[in-house]
Amino acid sequence: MSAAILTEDLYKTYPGQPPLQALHPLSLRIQTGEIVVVLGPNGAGKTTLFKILATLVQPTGGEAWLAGLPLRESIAVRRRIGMVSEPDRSFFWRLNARQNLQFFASGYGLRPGDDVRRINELLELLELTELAGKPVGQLSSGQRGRLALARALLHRPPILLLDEPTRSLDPTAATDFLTLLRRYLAETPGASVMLSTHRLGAVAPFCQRVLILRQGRLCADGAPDELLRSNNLPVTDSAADNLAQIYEALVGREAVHAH
Amino acid sequence: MPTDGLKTSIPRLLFATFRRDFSIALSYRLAFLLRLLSTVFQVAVFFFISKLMGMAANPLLENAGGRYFDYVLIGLAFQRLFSLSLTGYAGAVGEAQRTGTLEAQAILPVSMPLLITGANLWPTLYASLETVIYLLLGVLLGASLAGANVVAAVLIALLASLAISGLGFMGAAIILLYKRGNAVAWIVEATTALVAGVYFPPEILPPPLQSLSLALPQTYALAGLRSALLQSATIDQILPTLAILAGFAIVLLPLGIGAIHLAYRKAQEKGSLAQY
Repeated sequence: MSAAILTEDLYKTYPGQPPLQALHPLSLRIQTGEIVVVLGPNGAGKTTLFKILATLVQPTGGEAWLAGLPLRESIAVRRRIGMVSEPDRSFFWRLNARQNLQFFASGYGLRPGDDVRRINELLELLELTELAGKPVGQLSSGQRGRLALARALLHRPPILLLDEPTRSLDPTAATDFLTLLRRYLAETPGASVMLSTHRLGAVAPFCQRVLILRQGRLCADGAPDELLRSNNLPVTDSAADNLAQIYEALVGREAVHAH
Repeated sequence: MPTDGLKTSIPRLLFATFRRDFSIALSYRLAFLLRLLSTVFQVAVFFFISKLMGMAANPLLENAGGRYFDYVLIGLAFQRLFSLSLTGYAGAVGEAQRTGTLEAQAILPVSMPLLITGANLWPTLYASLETVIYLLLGVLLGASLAGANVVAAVLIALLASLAISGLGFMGAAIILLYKRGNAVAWIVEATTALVAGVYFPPEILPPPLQSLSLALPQTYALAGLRSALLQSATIDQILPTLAILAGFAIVLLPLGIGAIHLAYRKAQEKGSLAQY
């Protein structure tokens, strides 16, 4: 199976006094169609990893390929990824939801007519049709989160990078978001997803693989069952409990309770 | 793969950006109105200043028929347009940084200079409309534009805007990298107001400042615009001005675009694209 995301010794040191090594050399392979959840406390390097893969941050060293394309081919890479990050601060608040999506659809190269159809499709999928004419500034955080997902899906990217998309959402809105994401993935076989979240319960049912980052280092990588067994933890019937156990054991009890 | 058939059309993206900014501007109706009013007040202020100065022909205002009001009207009308070419790109980058939309746009499969150019289209069109309003108000107050060569004036304004945009891109690069302190734009804008012949002829300045005025495309543009609009200069007569402005554009535009690419790359290294 081909790799959706492949990294080889990818690392990042932010310049400064002193320099900050946000990501230590990281090699990983995410297969096409895989759904991977990245866990870790704040400051673990998750956002740096997402931003490098989204071509927003330049890695200090190492290599990465997305859908077989090296990161340096940034324009081509961006065509193949959909990114959700900080949904609250990434829209034109004076414009309505549809106008925002229309602008980004032009950026992705959707043709006239196709853009309207795709936007309608996504508004319906993400239960935003009724809100399409409302200025983004008047939407709730949960609605903006779903709108950010709609934007990320406009060009049907094969790879989704979702960096804490539920960060500013209340538990209900976060669950709604992840339920809708799950629905999209069920309808879109072959989509690869890398998602970071602290909403373990909501993401557990469709999490196929877990990456745990701590202080910029990858400290665990595997399917939830594998990680439970290798850490001598009991495998329960509840995917949410299993994920919580992994998080508690490998990241820390305080982090679990904090989120 | 579904994305393989997609290719971003530059004209469509530019139009989408224009439509976006126009819609946003429309949502601030009061600001629209106040800016229009400021145009009226500025023209009125200089009209009365020119009355105070008297109607006697001034030899230093030769290319304005000796009339100060006609002279300053051209300066005022085009200064805002040129100022926007100088500061608008940096303003668009700063605004996108503050509102958090820069990163969301940077992830689009298009180049950063194209995004920045698009973001200055609506402001430029609006400033062009203001230029026309300035000129119409001026005519109402007695400015003599009867024999104006409008085609020549449009050519000069276009080339000057392109040339000044090179400097404007450099200002945007500074904002992209350092977030604040659009020093290039401030310095050039202040220098332009002083030496380029917006409010008074550069000939009355001390020789060092007169030399400085020769380094600014605005100086040539304003002189050419006065010839075209107030003295009915033909295209042949303004060819030297067009050639000089084209020269500025050929040098400054690539430098400005290069500066944006460099600053964007540095911001990616620092991971500071989303910061402001």
